[in-house]
Amino acid sequence: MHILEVAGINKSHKGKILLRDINAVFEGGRVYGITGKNGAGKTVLFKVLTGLMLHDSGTVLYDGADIKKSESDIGLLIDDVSFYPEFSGFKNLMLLAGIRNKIDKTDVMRAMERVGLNPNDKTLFWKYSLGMKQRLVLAQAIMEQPDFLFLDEPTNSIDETGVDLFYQIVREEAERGAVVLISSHIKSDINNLTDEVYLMHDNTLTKAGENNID
Amino acid sequence: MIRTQIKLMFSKFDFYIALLICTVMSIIYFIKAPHTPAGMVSHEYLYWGNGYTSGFATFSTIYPFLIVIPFATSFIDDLSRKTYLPITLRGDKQKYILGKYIAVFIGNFLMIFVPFLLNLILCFALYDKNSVTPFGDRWLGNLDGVLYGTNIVYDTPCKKTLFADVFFENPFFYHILYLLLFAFITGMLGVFVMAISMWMKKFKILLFVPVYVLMSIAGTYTSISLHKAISNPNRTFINFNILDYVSPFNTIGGCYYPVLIGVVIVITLFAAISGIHVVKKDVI
Repeated sequence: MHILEVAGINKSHKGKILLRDINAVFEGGRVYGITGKNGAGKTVLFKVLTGLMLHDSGTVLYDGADIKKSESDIGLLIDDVSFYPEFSGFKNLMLLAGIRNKIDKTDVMRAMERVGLNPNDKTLFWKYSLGMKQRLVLAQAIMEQPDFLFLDEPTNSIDETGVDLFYQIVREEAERGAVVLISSHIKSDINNLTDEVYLMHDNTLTKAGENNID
Repeated sequence: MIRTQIKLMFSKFDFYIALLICTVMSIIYFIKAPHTPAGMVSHEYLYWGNGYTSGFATFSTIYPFLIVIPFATSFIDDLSRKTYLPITLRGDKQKYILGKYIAVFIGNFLMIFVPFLLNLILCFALYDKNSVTPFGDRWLGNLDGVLYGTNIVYDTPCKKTLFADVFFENPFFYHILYLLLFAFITGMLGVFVMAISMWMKKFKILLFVPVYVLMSIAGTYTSISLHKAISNPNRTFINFNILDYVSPFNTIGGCYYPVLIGVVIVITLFAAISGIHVVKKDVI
């Protein structure tokens, strides 16, 4: 079973505290919700946990290995993620797939189909609608079947059909054994999907309880 | 990670635009070449890459801007579009930066190497090997004056042309060696511009300025140094114009190769410091 252990994480930037003593353990096969107000530090937390941002102190262990040395596959959906506008969605994903070189063309096509995009569509990324962009970001997050999946405000720009599809994908990923973390300020996302909920408040993370928030 | 950046460079229009500009110039100056000089000029004389041709003078003017086109703005583009996020998630940031540097080096190297090689091959294949070379008259046997620097009247630390001996053995190979040097330096200048972009993360247009300014300053210092050496036998002339170091023939000489090595070392160190800054300061 995959496990993500976070202990004593602190992060500050230009004198401002962004994360304060973050401690948690996340296990595979479960979906964790992280909720909190805008600016509470959810996105920073995800960036630190995925190694996109350096932390000042503390440890992040993926299956017992420090984040810097870990070989675990991580998938991330974050608002900031973007792609090369002059390439099609498929070409963008193929470019990314070439980095780890663990999946091939068929896997990329399957990931696109899972999120409801046509892999043969030659439309360039800059012509994509907001919803299509969000779907493509989700496709890049799941295409390598990551052991750890981080989804930051995942349903922000997806329509209702898209939301149902997204819920289904999240459940499938957790059933596969992945550790799934979702940060959202949308209560229905948290209530419908998560097994455990954490609250991000004043840059600290506290356990809010089992899968229901009001 | 490194392969991805190279693949990305080859997928972008920018590289092909730069390559196209240079290739078109290469063909134009191949066609125009025999109309310029007079006499029984040899194919070495007609090669576009020689420092004295009008074609090379035109090329020198746009060279500082061409350096930026293939891939040097790629880091700043990634940063502004956030396209670096899904990439750095899949590999470490050091390799991402290294990949950028290698890709920009390859792009700039090829932008120079391919069109100039084309011109060189065409000149050597289709124009005759005649008497008059850039270094003197082959039949009169006075090439060594320029090649070994015995004709230079002012003091300069390195009178002999680099690879001078190779020219007597194989003029084509001599030109290839200089072309490799030219392409290498162009690659390094691309790395330099990209390293600058790691500090100057906005105003992409400003990336066209640094190499142009540095080359202008180098040109001014070279002129000053030459005039002082000519007017005063106790002064030593050192050429700071980098394009004179990488062209098979230049009219004023004075190429002191430690200057070139120094430029390469400074660029390498600056690139390393810039890369470390980006990784350690959470720029990406």
